[in-house]
Amino acid sequence: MKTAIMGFGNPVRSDDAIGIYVIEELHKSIGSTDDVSLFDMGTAAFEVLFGLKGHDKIILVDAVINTNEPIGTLFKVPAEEVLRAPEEDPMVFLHGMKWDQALSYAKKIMGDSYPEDISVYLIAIDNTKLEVDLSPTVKEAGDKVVNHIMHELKTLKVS
Amino acid sequence: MAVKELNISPVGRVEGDLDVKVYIDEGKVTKAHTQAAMFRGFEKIMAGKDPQSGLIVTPRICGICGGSHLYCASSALDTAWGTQLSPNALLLRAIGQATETIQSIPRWFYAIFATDMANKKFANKPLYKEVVKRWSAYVGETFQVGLTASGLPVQVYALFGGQWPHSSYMVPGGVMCAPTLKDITRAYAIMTQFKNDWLEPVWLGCTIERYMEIKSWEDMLAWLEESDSHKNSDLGLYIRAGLEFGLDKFGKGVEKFLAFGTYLHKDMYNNPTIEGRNKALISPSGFFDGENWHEFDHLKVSEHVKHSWFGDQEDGLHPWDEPIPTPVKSQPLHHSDFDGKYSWAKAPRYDGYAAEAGPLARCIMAGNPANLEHQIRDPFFIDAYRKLGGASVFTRVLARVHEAPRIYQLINEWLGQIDLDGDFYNKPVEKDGKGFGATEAARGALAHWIEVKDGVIKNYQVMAPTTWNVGPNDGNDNPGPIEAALEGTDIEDVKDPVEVGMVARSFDSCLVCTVHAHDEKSGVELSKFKI
Repeated sequence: MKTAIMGFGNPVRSDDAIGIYVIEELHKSIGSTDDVSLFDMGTAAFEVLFGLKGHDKIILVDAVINTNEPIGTLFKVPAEEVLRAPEEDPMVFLHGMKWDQALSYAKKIMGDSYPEDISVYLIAIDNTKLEVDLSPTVKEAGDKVVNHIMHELKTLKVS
Repeated sequence: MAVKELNISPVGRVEGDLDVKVYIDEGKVTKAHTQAAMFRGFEKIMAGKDPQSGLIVTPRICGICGGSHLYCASSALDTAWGTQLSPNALLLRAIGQATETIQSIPRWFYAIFATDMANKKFANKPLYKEVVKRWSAYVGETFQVGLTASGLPVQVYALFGGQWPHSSYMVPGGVMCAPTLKDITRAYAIMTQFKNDWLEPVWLGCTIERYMEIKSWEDMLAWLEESDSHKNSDLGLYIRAGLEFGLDKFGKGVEKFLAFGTYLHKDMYNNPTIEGRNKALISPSGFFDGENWHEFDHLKVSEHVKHSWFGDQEDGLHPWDEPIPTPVKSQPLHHSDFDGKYSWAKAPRYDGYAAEAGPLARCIMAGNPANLEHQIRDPFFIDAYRKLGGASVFTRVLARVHEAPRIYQLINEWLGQIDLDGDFYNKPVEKDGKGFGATEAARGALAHWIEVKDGVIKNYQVMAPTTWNVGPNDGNDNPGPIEAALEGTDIEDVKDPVEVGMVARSFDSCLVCTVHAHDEKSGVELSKFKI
């Protein structure tokens, strides 16, 4: 059982950094191991396609805006819930693609080797200004995600 | 943890949006305006911060060209601080840049450009069926092969850079990595797979060596006819279908070209200076005015803001003299006054001229008879450019893909030159000063200018290839390259002006682009679509 954890976001866009923060924290506490790959995906959605390969379980971490919930609110959803076919917007590629579209595309071309177990942690944010500071509330939510993921990984080991 | 119903999509992180407004009269584009729709003031973050913050911030400007920004950020500090670079450092930086560029070639061709050729506009052409069979988005026979292969070269980047994109392994004074023999062997293996999976069998239909024998347009046509595998390769099909579809007949542009050059030679740039840069480049720099080549001088670069939403500066300033970007009030497209300010892009000029950046510019520089022994000397493209009547959608795309075999060879050569026992990093001494770092990103000339004062960044200016190409009118109301390339384009169906999209895509702008076509006389919007 091999797990890939992918964080998305831009560390120079304020709270949009949270997905990357989670990956950095996981690096500090567990690092990449034989069982776990950690990916700082930055803003490169298309690369998801290549990161999936060879993994059975995928955990994505990203920020979301416009949730109507307070910042720092956590959501956990199965990827199927947020999949969006790139065909719905066929002319947006590379520079415009988001990971939800990349996943949907990956499903199409990977066939049987597409990992079944993909879940997504989303953290509600609001501030995406060009700055390098993470707000305390969002950071705290990020720490919670780190704990959740550590717990998930431990459960995997036991089972 | 609360688990909630959610009906939202992730944060959009495109590098920005571009709106292209074209006016059409009697089936022809009479005027075009490009509007970058987003303020991008990454420079603002860096002002007052540690001189090395560019190494962390700028690779995050783009999810596709992070390595190119890193190449510029480290080079700018090399010149400001007067660092020393070992041959290994120069080789590993060149490999990083080259792998990022070569991955972009199949990814761009299949995912961005070729799908346009499967547009119904070309349905009456004999080769249309074959184009659709191979290049239709997602389902085409070679679409997936090409896209999958594009994931390989950046694995090589990640071997040395830790990850791709967004790594920070290039630093002033060298690189922060020390590869082992295993890494080098692995890198060869990955590149060989790229060649064996796609480059030779699918793209060229021949060996790289055979392709490199092509020195003129006649040679290319002879190569095409030489065997069925050439003719039926994806490159062969592109040439035949491109000419049959008339892609060589539109999208001319400003006919002036600019390249900053890249890949500093391992033994010629060990003491980096701005003055010594041109001669040390493997992929040469230069300015081509339509007839002649001129030596590149970064001091001839300036930016205009008469039509850009920036205040606090006059037109024609060199980046070192420009203030940190100061936004002024913008208007949405429908309320924009094109006689006034209308874009978030500045209008960069070289020696006062709008110039096209990108692979076509690079290929033209490669044909400069004055290029030195260690520089790329390739007469093919300047010959093709002249015989095909200059720039067009066709030549722009051909230039982009023409680079793949050469970059492949260069990467292999450089991998073999790394001295595993040699130095990779020389710790520099920080000091105040001005610096200039540049490269050729996949999409063209990219540069960073820095000024360090009192130990912190006083000024930082990033000029991206897309800014050269999508920039608005300048202080003299002369159009930018894409604006110019669109004017005069014949539009077959105003409800689906695919020609406009193809011109814009041939420049490979790094913004998500929406085209708005308007009737010139009535001003009515005829169609709107994303490209």
